[in-house]
Amino acid sequence: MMHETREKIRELPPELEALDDDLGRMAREALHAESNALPSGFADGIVAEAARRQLATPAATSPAAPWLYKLAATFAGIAILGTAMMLWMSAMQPVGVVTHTASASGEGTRILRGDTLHGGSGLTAQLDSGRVHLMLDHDAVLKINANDEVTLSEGSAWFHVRSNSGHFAVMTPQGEVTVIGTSFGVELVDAITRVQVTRGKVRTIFNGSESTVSAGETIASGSAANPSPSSRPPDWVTNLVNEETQDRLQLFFPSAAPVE
Amino acid sequence: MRNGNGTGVGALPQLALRFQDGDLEALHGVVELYGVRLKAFCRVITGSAEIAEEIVQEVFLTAWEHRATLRNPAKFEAWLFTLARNRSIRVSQKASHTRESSWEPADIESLEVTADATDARSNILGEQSATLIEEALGTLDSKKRDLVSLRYFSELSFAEIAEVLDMPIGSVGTLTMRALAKMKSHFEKNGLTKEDLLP
Repeated sequence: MMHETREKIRELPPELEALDDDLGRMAREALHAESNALPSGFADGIVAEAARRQLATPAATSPAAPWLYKLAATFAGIAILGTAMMLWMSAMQPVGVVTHTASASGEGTRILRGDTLHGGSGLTAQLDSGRVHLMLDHDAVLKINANDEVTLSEGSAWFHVRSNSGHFAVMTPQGEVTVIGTSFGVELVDAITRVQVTRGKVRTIFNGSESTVSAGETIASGSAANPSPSSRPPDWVTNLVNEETQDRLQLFFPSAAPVE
Repeated sequence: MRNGNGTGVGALPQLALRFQDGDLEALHGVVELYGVRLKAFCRVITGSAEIAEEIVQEVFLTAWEHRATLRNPAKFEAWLFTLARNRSIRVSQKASHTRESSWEPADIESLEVTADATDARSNILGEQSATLIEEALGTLDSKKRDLVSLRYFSELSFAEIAEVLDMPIGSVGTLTMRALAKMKSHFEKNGLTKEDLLP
């Protein structure tokens, strides 16, 4: 009962203590006043309304505590910051290195994501810690999208990808060439992409048409007749390889004769 | 204190837990248990039984929708009265019904009509008590008024009342004593004896 649970006030004068008790009794009586009564079905109405709101907005029935929102926001902030830092560090991490250019000063240049390599007088490079070797003709323009994806927008390039080492793809305006552990050349001439494979296989998708090209085969985009494969490296490749780097030529062209 | 459904204050912790778990039956029990006391409390602040009833309805629905924010079920009653007080103050301020020193019973006519309309003695006594206590509370400033209302219309401890009113616990006893003295003075000034208060 109320008067039994109500805390006593210390050092309350007797006349005020009596009034305190009287007011407690009056309050209890006031609670029985009809004007303080709730209409019949009041509780049922509230329950029905609560149920209706619960159905209308189920998420609102169990909102997380404010401190939980703050904690979640803090973690989200840390996660976003961490992700941004990782992306930045990843962007600054070299994905390859130039191994040969006409000018010796270019050799050893680190290749970052987003870099564009120009063949110039011929260029060789490695990507992904030597998993991918590439050679660019003088007219080649190759953008390094990532360590496993490049875009050849002009000229010719040859690629050797270590067998069973995972994904590598060359994008061209006409489509894409995806490695299945191989050596292959990609040549862009007059808006046609020509692919020659010397090791393994590649999968090509040109104009929505998918093909698998094996070693010794050639395929060209936008052409009904595929060009005949050549067992000889193109002249620009031969010119690019010297005595010091001829082992690389063997990567691209297993049957190529050593440079004299 | 028990209501018609047999839901007692002693069962509060369990009732509060069930309420928190989203048990609609517990919501019903909570309304039955606290509805009248909250209405009486809100009525003192707003000066209107009708407005108090609307506020109580919204308090229960707000409490239901935000029940997950109640971190300590043991403070369930204090939480309800805090919601009721805050909402009553907002409504009063909005309606410019601030009654710091010029309180007038807003429902005096309806009280009389109700009293005339029933022969139930308890109801008449209840109405008289409600009127007298509200008049006396009207002589207090808002903080003492809310404090005394909580003392008689809730079963909150001094610590809980201090929490609801956001005041130091040490001030609760002192302010209550001053409020009682002022109310006593009011009754004496109006010639009201104990027999008038509790016939």
